[in-house]
Amino acid sequence: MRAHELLHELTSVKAASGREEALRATLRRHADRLGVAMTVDRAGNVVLAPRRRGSGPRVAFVAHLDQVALWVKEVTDAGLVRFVAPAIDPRLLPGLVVEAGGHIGVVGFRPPHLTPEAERSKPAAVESLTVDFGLPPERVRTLVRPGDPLAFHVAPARLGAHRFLASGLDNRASVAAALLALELLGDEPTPAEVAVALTVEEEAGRHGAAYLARDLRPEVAVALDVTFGRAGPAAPGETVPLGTGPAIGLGANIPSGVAKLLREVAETTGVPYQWEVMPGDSGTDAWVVQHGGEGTATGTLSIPLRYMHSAGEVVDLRDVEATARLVAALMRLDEDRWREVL
Amino acid sequence: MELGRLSEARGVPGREGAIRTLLAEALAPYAEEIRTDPMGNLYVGKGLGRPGPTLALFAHMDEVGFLVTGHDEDGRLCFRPTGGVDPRVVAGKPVWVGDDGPIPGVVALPPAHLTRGEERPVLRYEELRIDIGAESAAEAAAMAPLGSMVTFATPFAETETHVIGKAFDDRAGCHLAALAFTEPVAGPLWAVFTVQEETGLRGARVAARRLRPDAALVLEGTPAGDAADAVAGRELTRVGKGAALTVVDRTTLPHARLKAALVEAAERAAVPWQWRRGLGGGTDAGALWPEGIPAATVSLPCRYIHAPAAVAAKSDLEAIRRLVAAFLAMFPEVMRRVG
Repeated sequence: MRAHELLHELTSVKAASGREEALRATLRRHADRLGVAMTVDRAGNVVLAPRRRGSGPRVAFVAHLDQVALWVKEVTDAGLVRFVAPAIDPRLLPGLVVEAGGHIGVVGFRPPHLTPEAERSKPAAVESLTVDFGLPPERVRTLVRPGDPLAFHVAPARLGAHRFLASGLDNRASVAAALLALELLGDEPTPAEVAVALTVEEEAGRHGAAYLARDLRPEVAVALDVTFGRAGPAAPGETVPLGTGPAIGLGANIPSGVAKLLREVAETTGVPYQWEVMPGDSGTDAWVVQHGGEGTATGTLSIPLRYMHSAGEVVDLRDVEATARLVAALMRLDEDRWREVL
Repeated sequence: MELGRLSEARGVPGREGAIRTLLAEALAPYAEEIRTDPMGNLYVGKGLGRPGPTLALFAHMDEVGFLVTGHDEDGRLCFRPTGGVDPRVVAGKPVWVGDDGPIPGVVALPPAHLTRGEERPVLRYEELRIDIGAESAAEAAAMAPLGSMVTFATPFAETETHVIGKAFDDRAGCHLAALAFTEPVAGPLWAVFTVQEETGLRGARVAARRLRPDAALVLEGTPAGDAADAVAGRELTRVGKGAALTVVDRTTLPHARLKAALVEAAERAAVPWQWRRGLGGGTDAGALWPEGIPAATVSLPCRYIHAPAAVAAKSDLEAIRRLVAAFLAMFPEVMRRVG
C-alpha cells in the first residue's frame, strides 16, 4: 500500500488509550492481507508474527496503538460536557471540533466580547471549557458518560509533496511503518523470531508495554514511535528535522550495541537516519520493556512529528517509508547479528 | 439556499465572490433584477413595480478569517486576521488556504512537551504559523502567495436540534434573507448581500447610498454567552430561546417603531423571541441609519462565533424565518406608522 493511503485509513480510526478495539479490527484485516498470524494478548496488545526459519532470538518491533484524547468528567444540567485533557496543551482547545459516537461537538469557550480584558490575556483554563454537541441534555447523557474519550475531529490530508496531516499520527505513523515493513518482507521467513507488537495504553502510562515485556518476553525490542519534529527555531538537540529519516535513540534506554546495530543496518540498506539523544527516559514503550521483564536489549526508531498531541499532527511520508525499509531490513537480519547485542 | 452550503463556502472581507455566486444563482429564478456594485455587494430585487414602501433585507457575505503575510525559512506561513479573531481560538486548528481550489493546512504551535504550564502565555499572531507541508520559503510562496485567503476548515453538521459550522456570522443571515426572498410578497423587496461587514460595515455604507430603501431589516448571527463558563446576566443572547431583537449595540440604536413592529410580528407569528441584552458587537444597521434609512436587526444566537465552529438552534432559525415572514406582511402598514 502507499504510505499516505495506509496513514489515511489508520488515522480515520480512533483509538484512545484503553479503547483500541476498532483499531484492532482494522489490523485484523491487514494481518489477513499480509498473511501474518495475529494474536491479541490479555492486555489487548496485538502481536503480528511473520513466518520464520531457524530459532533466533525473540525480536519485537513495538509501536503503540493508542492516541491522546479528552476524557469526559461530567455532563452538566445544560447538556454541556466537562472534561480533562491529559498531556494536551490547553491553548489548543478553545474552538476545536471533537467527536464521540458519530456526533461532532465543539470545545466551547466564553466569547471574548463577554470576557473581561484582564482575562483575555491569559489562556482559557481547561476547567472553564465545555464540549457542546448541540443536543438536548438527555441525548448528550446517552451519547457520552463520565470516563468516555472525546477524539479530535480533523480530516486527514496530504500537505504539499511529502507531508501528511492528521490527528493520532502519534503513533499511527509507526504502526503504518511496521505494516509497510511486513509488506516489504513479503513471504520471506525471518531468521530471528520476529514479532510486530502493537501496544495499548502507552499514553496512559505504558501499561500495554509493561504487560508485553512479561508475556511476549522479547530479548531484543525496538520501539517505533515519534519524536519532536523541527518547526521553527529550537536549540540543537531539542528537535529533529523532517524528511531526513527516522531518529536512532542514544541514552540510558538504548544499550550502545543496539544503537550501533541500527546504524549499521541503516547504512548498509541505504536508509537515511539521524540521532536523537535521550539521557533518561526515552518516553517510549522501550523504557518499560527494557526493565519490565527479564531484561531486554532495547532501541528506539523515532519518526519526526510536528505539533505532537495537537489535533493536527504532521509527519513526512518519506520518514515513514524510510522507517519501513529499515525495519524490513532488520526483520531479515541474521540471527547472529542479534545475538551480538544480548 | 441551504445553510450548510453557505457555511462551507469561503469568503473573507473583500473575497466574497463564491458566496455571491451561490446566492445569485439560487435566487435568480425568483428575482426581477440582480445587480452588483464595484465593492461586490449583491442586490436581488422583486415586486419592484408594485406600489408601497420598499423594504431591504440585509445580510453580509464575508466571514472572519486570515490573509497570508509571509513565508518563513521552514516553509510555513505567517498570517494575520481579517476581521476580529481572538488569537486564543486559532492555535492547532485545521484551515483551508488559498482563494481557489484551497489546500489544507494547520495552525502550528510548539508541542506541549516542550513548554511547561507556567510558560504558556496566550500566543500572538506574530508567533503562530500555518503548516502547509512546504519545505522552503520559496515552495511555500508558490503554494500560497502573499495575500492568499485563509479560512477555518470546518465541515457543516446538524443534529436533530442544532446546526454546527463555521461562518454562521453571517451565512445564517444570508440563508434567512434568501429564504424570505423566495416567499410571495405584496410590495417591492430587495435582498442585499453585503461585503466587508467585518472590516467596518463597509459594503453596507455603499449599498445604503445606492439603494435608498424606505427601511431595512438586518439579519445577523450574534454571540450567545450562555454555554461554557457562562456568567449569569452576561449571556447577551441564549441559544434556543428564539429570535434575538437588539436593544442597542456598539453601532446603532434600532429604529424604535421598527423594533416595536418586530415584537408585534413575533407575537403575531407566535414565535419565541428574546432581547439581545448587552452593548458589544455591531451590525450593518449601523451603516444604514446615518443614511436616513430606518433599520433594525434580528439575530440568530450563536455560541462560539468568530471561531472555527459555532452552534445554533434550528428552532431559532425557524423562529426568525416566521418572524421575518410576519414582518414582511405587516411592512406597508408599519411604514404608515413610521411616517
